[in-house]
Parts: sequence; structure tokens; C-alpha cells
Amino acid sequence: MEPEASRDEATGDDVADLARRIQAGDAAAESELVARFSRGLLLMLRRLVQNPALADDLHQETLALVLGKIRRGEVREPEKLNGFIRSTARNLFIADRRKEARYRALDEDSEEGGHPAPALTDRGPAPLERVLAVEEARQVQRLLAELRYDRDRQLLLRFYLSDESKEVLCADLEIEPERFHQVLFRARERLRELWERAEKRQRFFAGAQKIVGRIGGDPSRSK
Amino acid sequence: MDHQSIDAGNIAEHYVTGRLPPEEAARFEEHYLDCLSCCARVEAAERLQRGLRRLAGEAAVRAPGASRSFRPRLALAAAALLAVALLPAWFELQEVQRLRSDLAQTRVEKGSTDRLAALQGELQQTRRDLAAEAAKREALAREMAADRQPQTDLPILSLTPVRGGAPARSLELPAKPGWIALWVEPGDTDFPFYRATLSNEKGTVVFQVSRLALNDLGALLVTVHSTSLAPGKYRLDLDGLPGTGAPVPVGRFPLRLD
Repeated sequence: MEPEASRDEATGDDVADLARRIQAGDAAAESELVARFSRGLLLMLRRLVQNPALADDLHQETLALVLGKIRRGEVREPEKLNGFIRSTARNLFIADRRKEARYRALDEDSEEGGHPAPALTDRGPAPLERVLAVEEARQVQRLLAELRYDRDRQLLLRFYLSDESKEVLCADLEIEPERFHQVLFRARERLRELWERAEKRQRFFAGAQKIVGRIGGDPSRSK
Repeated sequence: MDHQSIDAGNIAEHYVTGRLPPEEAARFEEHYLDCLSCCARVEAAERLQRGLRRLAGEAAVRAPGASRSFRPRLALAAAALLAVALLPAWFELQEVQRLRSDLAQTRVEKGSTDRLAALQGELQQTRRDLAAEAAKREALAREMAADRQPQTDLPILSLTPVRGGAPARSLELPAKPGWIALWVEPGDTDFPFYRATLSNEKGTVVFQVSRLALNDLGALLVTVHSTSLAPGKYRLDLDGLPGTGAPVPVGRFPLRLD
């Protein structure tokens, strides 16, 4: 974990060196690039695409395309590798959208010709994700209720759920505009602390439950 | 981009809520692509936003009329606020419902007919026992009070040494419970103490008293309560108790109680 933590703030020289090593045929450097950019890239794509399955596909395609271009020396500014990866992912997404639009148009044409419409892909969240979302909502509800200051609650709710501007929020919640970021940061930190404490509790109880289950549970289950 | 300014400016939160200008959002995306801590910041903000949206969605479903006068996203925030504001009351309601349920359960358990009937039976039995005990105590108290009174017309059975086949002495037991006295004359003996043993005709010992001493008239007086004696034939064995050594038989006194 230590090397990953030290990569938090990568410099242009750092990524340029990585690109040069990949171009030189260093397989370890390729693995390093994948390990280093994978999580952020997937996060960005999931936000962009709003479809986990498509985001996973684009994630793989992006990494493959980027690695190929680096190997072939097609990345002109290796020190701006982050920007290159980002724009590659976005371009792939745009291309996918265009492709889908073309297919849709073809489908509509064929539908007019009397062919049956293809089954629509379910782009909604998977059942597990739905359950997790419900649990997450409960957690948020509990933690918001635990917040000591009502202003923190109101600020977080309105900031995350409404599109109200900073000026409106400041006026409504009597926050000095220059202190808005500080107030939001503190509210967020308080909630984060509560969240971490709640997660620790959950881990503790989950661990305790495992131990109790092992002691008192059905012996056949331990086989 | 440095983490201090990202935190201070709530960049991840502005990014997740779509408040970051496009250029700044692009710069932040380029940054977090290979920044684990900023990935965590974005994920935390997303998680909170998802939770709040879900919460607001549920609250909006519960109170659909509340959102009509607001813009949709503001309405969601209001609904979420409502949900959070109602939360303590909801918890209290849950607690009250739980307590009510427990109480009902307890009533069912303790108030079941069988159990109640059994308890009532036990209670009645206890009351009866108590009443009987109280009656006994009252009777005993009366007896004790009577015993403390001067005793008159005390039945006395005189037992003197009998030789040969003289008939047994007899005494009629008093109609009411009371004391009777056995006047025993050991004859020409002089032991410091005597022991008297009364047995019924089956040979069962009814009582035995030791350390009896002769009175001034050369006799031993033993008082027995009539309730400890039933009509029938008895025998009183008297032994002399020397200072040392085994008891010495002094005489046998047959008697009959009617």
C-alpha cells in the first residue's frame, strides 16, 4: 500500500517516465500503468456513462488503446498522460454513443419494415446494487440524524440534492459567503467521522457475529 | 492540484454535484485518474449523494404532495430534510411499539387463563393454610392462656408399688384437654434422681423423663398433657439413677386410661 499512497500526487515527469518505460517494452511498467490508473479511470467512466457494464467495457478498451498508443510512440506529450487517458476514455464513450445511435436508427428502420424490435438492455442497477443503495440510504439517514447541528444537516442535504447556488445556500442558511467552503468542509468532516465510526461498529459487530456463529452455530456449517 | 486546496475548496463535492466549471472538472478528473485519495474523496461524496437521493426519494414517495410547490431537486432536498427531521420521532415510535409489543407478550404469558387459574388456586390454598395456621395459633394461645390460669380439679393418678397381680390403676381422661398428674411413689428407695418411662401396651414409649427428684412426701410428681395420651393400657417403668453406674429398676406401674 505504501507505494500507492506515495503516488497520490503524481508529477508530469513521473508519468512521462512511465510512458517511456512502456515504449521501451517494459512489461512491468505496463502493469504499473494499469494498477495506477484503473480505479480512477473506472470511477470517471462510471460517472460519465451511468451504466456499470458499459463503463467496465470502456475501461478495458481505454487501457488497451492507451497502452497500444504508448507502445507505438503515438503519445506526443507523455508528461500529459493523465489528460491523454481521460480524453481517450471520453472519446471512446462518445464513439460508443454514436454507434448506439446508429444502431437505434437501423433498428427503427427495420421495425418499420415489419421486423420485431430487439429486446431493450436493462441499464438499471443490479439487484445487489439496489440492496446496497437501500442500506446506504439508511446509513445516511442515521448519520444525518446524529449530526449535532441542524445547519450541517440542511447544508449537506441542500448541497448534495438541490442545484441551488452557493449564494442561495449562504443566504438561506446564514453563512458568510467567504466561509461557505469552510462550513461545508466541516459539516462533511463531521459526517465523515460519524460514517467511519459507524463502519467501525459494523465491522466490530460483524466480527463478533462471526465468532459467536462459530461457537454457537450449527456444527455442520463449519465443515 | 494539491490536496489542501481540494479539501478546502470542496472540489470533490462540487465535482460530484455538478457544480464544478467544465475546465476545473476536467483538471480534477485528470488529477484523480491516478490519485487514490482523491478517488476515495469522489467515492465518498458519491456514496453520500446516493444515500441522500435514495432517502429523499423515499420521503418524496411518502409525502408526494410536499414536492409540488418546489423545483424537483429542491423538493428532493426538502423531502430528505423532512425524513431526517422525522427520524427521532420515528425511532421513538419504534421504541414505543416495541415496548407495547413486549408488554402485550408479557400479558399473554402471565395472563393466560391456565396460569392465572393456577395462581388463583395457589393463592386460595395459601389463604386456607394461613387460616388453618391462624386457627391453630389461636387454639394454642387459648391453651397457653388457660395453662397460665390456676389449675383446679387436676386429675391425679396415684401409682404405688404393687405386689402380685393387683389390678392396674385407672384414670378417666378429662373431656377437655388439660393436664393430668401421675403421683408415683417409688417405695423404699433413695436415689438422687429417678427416671420414668411410660409405654403403651404395644411397648412403644410415649414419654420418658429423667432427673426426677423425690418431693418432701417421698413421691415423684409427673404431669402429662391429656392430648398426648390416648385411652388404653400403659405401663410406667421407674428406674433409680445412682450417682454412678447404670440405672436401677425400681418398680413397674400398670395403668389404664379411659
